[in-house]
Amino acid sequence: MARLVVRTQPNPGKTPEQSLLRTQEGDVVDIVNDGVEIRPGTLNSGHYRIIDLPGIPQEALVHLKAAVFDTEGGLVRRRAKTLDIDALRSPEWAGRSEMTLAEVATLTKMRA
Amino acid sequence: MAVTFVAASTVAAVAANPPTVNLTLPALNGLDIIIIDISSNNIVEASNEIDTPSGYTEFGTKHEVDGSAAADDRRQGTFWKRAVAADSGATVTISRQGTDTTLLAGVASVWRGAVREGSPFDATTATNASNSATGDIISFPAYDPVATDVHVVYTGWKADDATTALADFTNDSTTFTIRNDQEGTTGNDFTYGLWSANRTGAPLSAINATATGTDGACLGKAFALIPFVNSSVTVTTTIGSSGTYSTPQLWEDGSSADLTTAEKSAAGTFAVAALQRGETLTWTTGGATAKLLETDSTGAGNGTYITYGIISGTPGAGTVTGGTSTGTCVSTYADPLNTGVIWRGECQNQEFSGAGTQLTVSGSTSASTAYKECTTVAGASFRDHANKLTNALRYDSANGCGIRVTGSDSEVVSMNESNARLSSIQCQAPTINSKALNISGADPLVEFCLCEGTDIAQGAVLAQGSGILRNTVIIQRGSAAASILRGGIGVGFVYNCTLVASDDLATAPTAVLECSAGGTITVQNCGLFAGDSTKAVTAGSATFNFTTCYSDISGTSGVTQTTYGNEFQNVNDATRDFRLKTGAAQIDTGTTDATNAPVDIVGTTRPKQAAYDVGAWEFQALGSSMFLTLGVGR
Repeated sequence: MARLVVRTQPNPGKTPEQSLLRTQEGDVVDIVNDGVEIRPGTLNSGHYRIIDLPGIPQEALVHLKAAVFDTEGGLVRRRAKTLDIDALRSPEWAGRSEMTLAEVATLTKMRA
Repeated sequence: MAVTFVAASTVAAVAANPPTVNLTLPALNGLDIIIIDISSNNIVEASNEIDTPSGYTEFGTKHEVDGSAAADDRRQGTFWKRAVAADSGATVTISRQGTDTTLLAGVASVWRGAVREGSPFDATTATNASNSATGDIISFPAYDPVATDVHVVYTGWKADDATTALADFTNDSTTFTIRNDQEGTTGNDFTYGLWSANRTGAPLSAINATATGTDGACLGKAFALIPFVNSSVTVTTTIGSSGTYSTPQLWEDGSSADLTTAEKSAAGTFAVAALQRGETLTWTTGGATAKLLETDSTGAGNGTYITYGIISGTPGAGTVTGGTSTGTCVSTYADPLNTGVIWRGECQNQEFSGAGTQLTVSGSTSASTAYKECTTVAGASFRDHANKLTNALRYDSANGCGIRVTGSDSEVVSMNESNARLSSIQCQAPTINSKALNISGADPLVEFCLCEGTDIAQGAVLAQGSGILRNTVIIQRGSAAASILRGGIGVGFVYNCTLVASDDLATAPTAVLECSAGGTITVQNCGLFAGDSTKAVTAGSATFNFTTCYSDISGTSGVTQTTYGNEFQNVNDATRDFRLKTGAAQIDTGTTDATNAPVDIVGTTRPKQAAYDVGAWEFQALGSSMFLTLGVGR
């Protein structure tokens, strides 16, 4: 049931600190139900990749959207985790538009 | 930016058949305004009319003077063009219909700093004056510009090539500087003069410039150029199942890293393929890169502009290529039409729901004139619903756009960027320990929103950044919460908001407002109801300044105690409805504030009755008019 929208192109901020507050390559930008059509503003830019996880509820993947906050609720980092962009680009995964939860787990790593 | 005179060309003149002559433009920049003033000795316009130079547009109307001697006849036409870089030093052909061999003369003047789109002229069109008598003058008409900041130009011709040097003159205490003074002996000879000055928009009387000579007949024209003033451009896109973006988060991700330097530039020659929103643009000359935010081009062969966020370098004039589409266009000018973008997303009438934060706003440089704003498409908000006056005032996606988070320990919207705005949207976090809003960026504006949260530690809404919250309902639905609204460091303003906790929670919140980090919070015209009169209006070390507020809790200056159940239609969690009801103490007891609360949360104009109501809802007695009508009929 979940569809991941993954950023595949650089998205730098003006400073390294600002870049932390923006989604970067490999980050899951959003999770929608897999029947939701990704509209042209996102799809046609060439900066995103769509990965479906049939049968998997959003809740099982929400950790991929989790941000890092300070104790007062201020955003420190846009994403705590990311998908391995190099692996996603590798021949093994490059052509995959569907994955299992376990496969996504193997690609998930803590953001440096 | 003021309009300035750059240069004028040498007068090009001809007195031969064909009546055609080339004029060479002076050095100029793209976006400069070129004005070509043409004088013809032949005034038989039916067969000898002045031609409009190719690529130019006439402004004002041609006019003429029938001199006492045929040699002094003159006809004047004026034409303009917004320059591109290739116009610098270019040749412009001046011509006249027919085969007459009398004088045809033209001169180009170049002006910098005028508006960069549309007509550069004041709404008062160019006005004309003429004088057929022999005299030492060039006559100019009265001129009354509409705009208050203008650069007035006088341009005129005299049928005499032996005038004294033209000089500055004064009109209404403004000195008009002589910009160009040329004479020529071609044909029946001529003198050309050009004056200009900045003006505040006050009217100018007719005036004569001194041009001492022996021959008569003169023509004068007055007009005004409007200076360029930069303004942000708003890029509006729709969010939803048939919108540009599917979700609020994907909309937010489509913005640029710096909204303050994002630009809209004139562009043309769109070719190869349609440029795609979000793709990376690269300028061939200079190598600048940018993220395409918007264009009106739908493909090769059409389009007039591109709006983009700069990634690197300095975009200028020249070819631009899209990294994904491979489409190209040519950026027309070195300078943009606008600098600064308001990135505005408009949600369609649907519910956006899912696990995890549904919208995080962060990571872009912003300003008070360049920011992200999430709202709804016209007609898509609960504020637009046909039954908005009778609908229960609580989250209900059947009434309009709603954003909802399904999981626990989360938040619906996280506004972590300065100057971000949110309006007309319902936000609900119904599951354990989730906030409707987490606002940590500076200077946010949240208005006309319905917010329901359950976070017992940080409030239904956490507002850390100094900013404005107005005409909004915040409902705490979590039992034993520390507060309904938690503030943070800085100066916050809360106007005409309704801050409530459901009355049947197992344990009411400890305080309505909590701020333990210092700062000052101004609270005006707000309803502050915890559902338990033993709780506190405030907690923490901040300074709270209350004006005409109401609460079910006593003991706070500026806050009047009243009975919770008497104020609202329904205060129980399952059936909550926070519209005011008849007899509520909050009716007609608020402070007038036309800046922050001219209308209520659903758009009812304040005051509906004698005075502003307290809280987000402006009470109106529905059905009373029907009752009165029936009464009259009995």
